[in-house]
Amino acid sequence: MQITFDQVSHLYGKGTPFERLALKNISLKIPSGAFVGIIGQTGSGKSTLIQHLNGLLSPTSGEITIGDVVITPTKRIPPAKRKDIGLVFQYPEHQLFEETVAKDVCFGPLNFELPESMAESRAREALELVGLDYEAIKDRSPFQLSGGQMRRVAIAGVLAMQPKVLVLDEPTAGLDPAGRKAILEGIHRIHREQNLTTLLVTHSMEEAARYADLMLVLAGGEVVMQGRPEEVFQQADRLRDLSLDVPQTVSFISRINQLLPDTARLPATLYREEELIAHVLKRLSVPKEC
Amino acid sequence: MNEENLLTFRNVAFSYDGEEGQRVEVLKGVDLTIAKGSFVSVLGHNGSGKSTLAKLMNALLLPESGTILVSGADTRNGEMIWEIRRHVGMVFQNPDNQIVGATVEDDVAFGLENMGVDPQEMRKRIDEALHSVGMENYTLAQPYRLSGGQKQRVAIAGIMAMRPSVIILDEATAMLDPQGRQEVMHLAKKLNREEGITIVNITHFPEEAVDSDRVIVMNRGEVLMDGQPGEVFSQVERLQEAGLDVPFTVRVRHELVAKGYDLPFGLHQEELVEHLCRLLLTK
Repeated sequence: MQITFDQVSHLYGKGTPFERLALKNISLKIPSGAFVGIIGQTGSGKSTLIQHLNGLLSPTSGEITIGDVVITPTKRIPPAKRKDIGLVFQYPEHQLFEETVAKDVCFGPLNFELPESMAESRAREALELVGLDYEAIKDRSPFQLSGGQMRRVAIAGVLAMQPKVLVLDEPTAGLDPAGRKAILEGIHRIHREQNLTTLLVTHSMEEAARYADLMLVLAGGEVVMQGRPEEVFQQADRLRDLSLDVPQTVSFISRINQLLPDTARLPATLYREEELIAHVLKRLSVPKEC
Repeated sequence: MNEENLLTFRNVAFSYDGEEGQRVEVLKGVDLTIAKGSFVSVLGHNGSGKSTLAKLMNALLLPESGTILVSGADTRNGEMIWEIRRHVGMVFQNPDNQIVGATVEDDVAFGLENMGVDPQEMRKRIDEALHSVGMENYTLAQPYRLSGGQKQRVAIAGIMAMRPSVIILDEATAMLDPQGRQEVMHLAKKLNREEGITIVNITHFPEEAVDSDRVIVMNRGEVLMDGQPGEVFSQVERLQEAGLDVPFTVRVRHELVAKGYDLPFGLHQEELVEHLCRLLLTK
């Protein structure tokens, strides 16, 4: 689903001493099927932005279009359309509550009045999508699982709604490297297979570099940069001014290029680690002409 | 009190009751000592026993068997428990779960009030503690308005005011943005160097461990590796098998060496940059 924001602002605590403009005149366009990396410092407006997508927050001014649905300050997203937008909050495992994993994952579909048999098949599918064995896990208590498993069950609960837009707020925070990779690879696979539009909020420039094909950089409630990852990561100084960082691949290449003669420089677009290594190996294996 | 080894684990085991009544072993006979003034990083997959290890260090948990000594005091000695907790401060993952005060200075005062410290002395310690974490200009700020990194620094100030020997960071940077992470790591290094505070940093980020004196790797409740960062991170495959990662520089070098290129081992980007440039230019 294509998502557009047209001059969207959001004011918290309007008319109170705590009034704060959390989003300032945001305009952006996300094509259907994009994998978007959203980065920005704590307090930059990332979470406020994504809560506008499924009607948890309404814009104070401006207009949001998701597919054919238009959201304005007075027009909320129709309830039936909310299931199209799956929102995975930070630490989603804190929201697990049912007695068994299967019941927890079925909760959403049942709530949208799907028949029980269909809800169950959705739960099975969703749990398998996140790499869990349905038969082995369905009757277990979600609270007896490991942190990584709980996180996956919570994500499955959102996937069981079969959303068309998947929004994830730091889905890997607190997980070990193997767990981070498993979750993100899974999300990326689902994104491709189901042709979702995916928004990933992350503090990790490495994760953004690896998965995103479009980047949004937020600062002080505004979108200050947007574009393809290679365009955004080229502006290392600007990102650092925003208290952000570039992936290690990018700082590594820029350091190497400072030491190499102009003709031997590495392309600055190799921000994915495998591509960087493959390029270096290729360069090393080809005998130099000069 | 024993000055050399601040923390001693002797054959420490810990387990809890699982779902079907079975015992789940979290730590299986761990032996280790942590020297006063050192900066130790602890790595390990989720469920490897890292956090249990931390909670045993200040008697939040007690060992099922074996002994834990903090400056010579057994953590099972109920009379010593407050003294032990004052010595061993802990910073947790979520900054919002550990702030109790309505203002920054109230928050830092919390522990001191519990200890019944004299008000004048309290004032002095709060100012010193906030100064040591670089938050002296935020004395009356409301904690909820601070950034994640600043909140963690306030939590560390609360510990510093108690005059601790050890600060344990239990994934204290996991929820922070890059700047917040840098602030906290920078502060931990400074307190270690300038104030002689022993730091135990439990983390999933291998980069944070590169400048430690020592790296301990936990795997399934046991100490898998224990040594200087260079010794530990040079064993790339072994770490990856344990579900862990190595610093970027080590990973890139590993891939190139696997293809037969000759690059010396190094933990810092600058070393790899230099050697790789040489290799690229002489090719």
